[in-house]
Amino acid sequence: MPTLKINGQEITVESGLTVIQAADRLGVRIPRYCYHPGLSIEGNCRICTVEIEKMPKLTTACTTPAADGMVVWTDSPPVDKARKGVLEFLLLSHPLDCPVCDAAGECDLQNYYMAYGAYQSRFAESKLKKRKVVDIGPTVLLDNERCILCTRCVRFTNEVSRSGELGLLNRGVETEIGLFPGKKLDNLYSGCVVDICPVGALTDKDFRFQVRPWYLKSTPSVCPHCSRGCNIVVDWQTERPHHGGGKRVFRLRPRHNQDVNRWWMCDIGRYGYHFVDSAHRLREPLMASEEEPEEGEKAPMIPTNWERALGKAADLLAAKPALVVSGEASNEELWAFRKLVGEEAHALYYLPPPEPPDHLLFTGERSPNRKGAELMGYQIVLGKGAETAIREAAGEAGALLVVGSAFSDSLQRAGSSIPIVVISPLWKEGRARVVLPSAVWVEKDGTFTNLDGRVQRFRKALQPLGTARPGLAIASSLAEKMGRSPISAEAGHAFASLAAEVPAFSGMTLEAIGDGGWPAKL
Amino acid sequence: MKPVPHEPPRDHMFLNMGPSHPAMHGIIQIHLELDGETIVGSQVEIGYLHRGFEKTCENRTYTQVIPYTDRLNYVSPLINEVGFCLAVEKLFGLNVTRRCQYIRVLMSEISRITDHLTCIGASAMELGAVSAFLYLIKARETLYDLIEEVSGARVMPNYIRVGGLKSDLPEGFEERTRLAMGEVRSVLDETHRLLTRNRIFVDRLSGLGVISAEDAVSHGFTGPCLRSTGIGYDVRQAEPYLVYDRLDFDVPVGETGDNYDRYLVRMEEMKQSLRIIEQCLAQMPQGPYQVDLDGREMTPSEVIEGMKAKPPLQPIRQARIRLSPDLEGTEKRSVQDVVADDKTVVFPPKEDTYGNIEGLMQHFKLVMYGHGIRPPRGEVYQAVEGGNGELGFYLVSDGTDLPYRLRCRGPCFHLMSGLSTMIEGETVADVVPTFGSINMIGGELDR
Repeated sequence: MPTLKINGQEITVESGLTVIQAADRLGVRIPRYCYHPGLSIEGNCRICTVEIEKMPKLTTACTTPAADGMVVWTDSPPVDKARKGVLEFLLLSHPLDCPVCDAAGECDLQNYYMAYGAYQSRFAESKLKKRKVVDIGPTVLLDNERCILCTRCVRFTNEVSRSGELGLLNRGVETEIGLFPGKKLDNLYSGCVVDICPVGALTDKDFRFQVRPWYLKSTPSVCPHCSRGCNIVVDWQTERPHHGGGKRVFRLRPRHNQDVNRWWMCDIGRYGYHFVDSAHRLREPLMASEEEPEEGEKAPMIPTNWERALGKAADLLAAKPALVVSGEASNEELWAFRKLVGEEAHALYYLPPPEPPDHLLFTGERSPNRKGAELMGYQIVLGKGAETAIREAAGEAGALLVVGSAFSDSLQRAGSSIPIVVISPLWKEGRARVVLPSAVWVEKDGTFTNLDGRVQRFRKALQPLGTARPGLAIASSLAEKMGRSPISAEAGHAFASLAAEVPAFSGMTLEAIGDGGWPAKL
Repeated sequence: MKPVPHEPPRDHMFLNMGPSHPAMHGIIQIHLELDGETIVGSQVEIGYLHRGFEKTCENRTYTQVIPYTDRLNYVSPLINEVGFCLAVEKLFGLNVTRRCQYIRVLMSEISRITDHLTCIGASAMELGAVSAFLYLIKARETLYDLIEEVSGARVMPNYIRVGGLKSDLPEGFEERTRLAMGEVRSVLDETHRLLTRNRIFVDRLSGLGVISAEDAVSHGFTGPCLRSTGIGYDVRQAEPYLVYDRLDFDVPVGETGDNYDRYLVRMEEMKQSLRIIEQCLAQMPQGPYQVDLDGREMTPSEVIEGMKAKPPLQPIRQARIRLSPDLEGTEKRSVQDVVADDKTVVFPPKEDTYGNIEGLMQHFKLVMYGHGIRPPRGEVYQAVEGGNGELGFYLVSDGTDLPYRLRCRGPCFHLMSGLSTMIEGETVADVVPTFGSINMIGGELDR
């Protein structure tokens, strides 16, 4: 357990850590390009040089193991001078791309130049030309001129995604990042190389030129695309609707959580947000026409207002309803809908057919809250088996309340003749008497329980599209109309009631869960 | 402000002057309580031009605030810019170059003259002297031409920057300034001949709108209105900023605090401003460059070679280099002289922005939201002598790129609080010259 001093502050760390890791523990920020806590240490960028007393020369903080009695200075005059020199070399052949570069605003060359560089350019020669806009895979583009050869992406593909597509090609000043022959950067984690690229060399095709990053606002959230529940950040903006064709959510980024996803997330989750602003989003309630449809025809769906739609739904659900939930229903919503239909009613949780999991994060279970449904006493129904289960549930019930959009096919095939009320953010077509538009996960507050039973909180970033309402608010209104015991429309209150009733959640509050999540109870 | 009595005598009449009245330049309403034609009470209703300046600035970067300050006292916008930029520089503890300081003083004094010209011209016109108004506005126009030449805009220049200026002065500016000064001086002489001893003009001003020195101080008067009462308070001498302590000028004071004294104080202040401008032009450092007869910068070796030549080619020492018309005075060799040496505050010269990655990144870091100029945490108050008096900026920084709080002390606000005292006991017709001599500017009053 070495004890060392960094900028006069003393810290004791476990042996094996390097100086930069010890400094991070202390909150002393040492600049870095090639060092990444999730990757092996390479020590090639030289920006993290620090002064260590009794060492003959400046040394890199990322490769030097912390040793007992070390005295480290991270911003002494020799260190400043060395950093200026490193930056000057890194910027020698850097193109004047900031105006067209996606990374401007999030670029460590810019940040460190202002913080540590701020020297006057002395470069009078002509810049080296390299390949630009290289298509290296379905999701990522490479610009070799912007690259500073930190090799974070190479190490990522070797160590984390274990697909090994990228490597360093050529020699000397002509060294560049490239693909191995016959390979494409095409793996489930390819988007992560854009996150870890400290400059603008790797850009995301999905995000490219959509919006300048400094217009984006960020909200901590949880990925809803599989039962892992990777911690993410939702980057969104609404003040400039002329950017990105009116999109509101522009990208999802992983948020570091050592216990769940560390620094990574998969491409399924990363690019799976487009449904948020999709044209299929339902913006106002629909009601089936009262007129008798022709033989073999479905009754046409007519837009209506919330008051009428809720009234109609409450009438239909008065007759011994059964409940089928799927998709991104939060713990609070699962609990609220269960309350709404009554404890004795059939409550099913539909899960799409599982896909094969991979070595890192993706679980194959395409639902963020299966564990939560289990804890809440739902019967889990899977894939094709769902048809039978839904038919059985519907057979005994007087009405069917369907929450979520994942199983409209099963619903069709179940072919029950009882009235169906659907609460869903998306709607194409299907057999239902009332369809109520609900908010998607970035438009509401709540929690998911991941496959290990960890309860994680996601926060509201956007207002629901159109007149859509969060599922909890709909449950609350329906409870009022149906004369059931009141359900709070506010996630914090609903969670408190849930925690009081369901033993697996006892002792938790939304505030205490915070952005780190509440570990599973054993 | 005297409140209107709840139940006034029955023979009193109430009259609304404004908010839209031909003789009220600016949108303001005065409720007058009249006994015959004599004013026995009044209430001033302000706020018609409230734009939320201070709150807006909390959501703008420091650089973005500068054009908003133009809209405070829009007749002397450069003084507002100087005041704001000095406040931000005080937070940084940043010193600007000597040449920049002189240019700022010079532009401030040009603005002060345009302010006073407008005030006197408008007052004269409202009293029927339309030709004096036209002469004064013509003189103002020559000054606007100078401002346009420097900044590109006549009224909303947006020329001063935190840590310096947008650009250096253009070529031949000095010469044209001297010409303009001559023109302003002759217009002032003519105005004196037209107005100062004009019986009608003097009768409408003299002995009216009187405020005592004591009242003026208790209302927070500053500027010409305070000085007309005999108190010689001027921020430029009381708390010298920039290079005012190196300049020789007098602060004229009146005796009675009436409209006529305010007129005379303003006329004399313009003369003093002309003196300051001439001193600035004479004292301003011209730059350390060796340039040849074409205004091209010469290297030291070229200078030596030129001296050896027969006949010797004498370089023009200490002259400005020739400016590129494309870069409008923002090129490196000239802009270096008018901006501070701090890359985290001032924008790079345009050749650097467009010519090398370091300059481009510096530019981006200074303009991107969430990056920008970031003064250290702290709070400062910085006052400058505006056209109407002490213009103060109280600025709180929380270390981000947006001001945490910006409070603006506009002199007009305090002057307007004294209007009721000044017009009480006078006739309705006297409101016009008294209001005119206060020189209310809505942009600064209502913010």
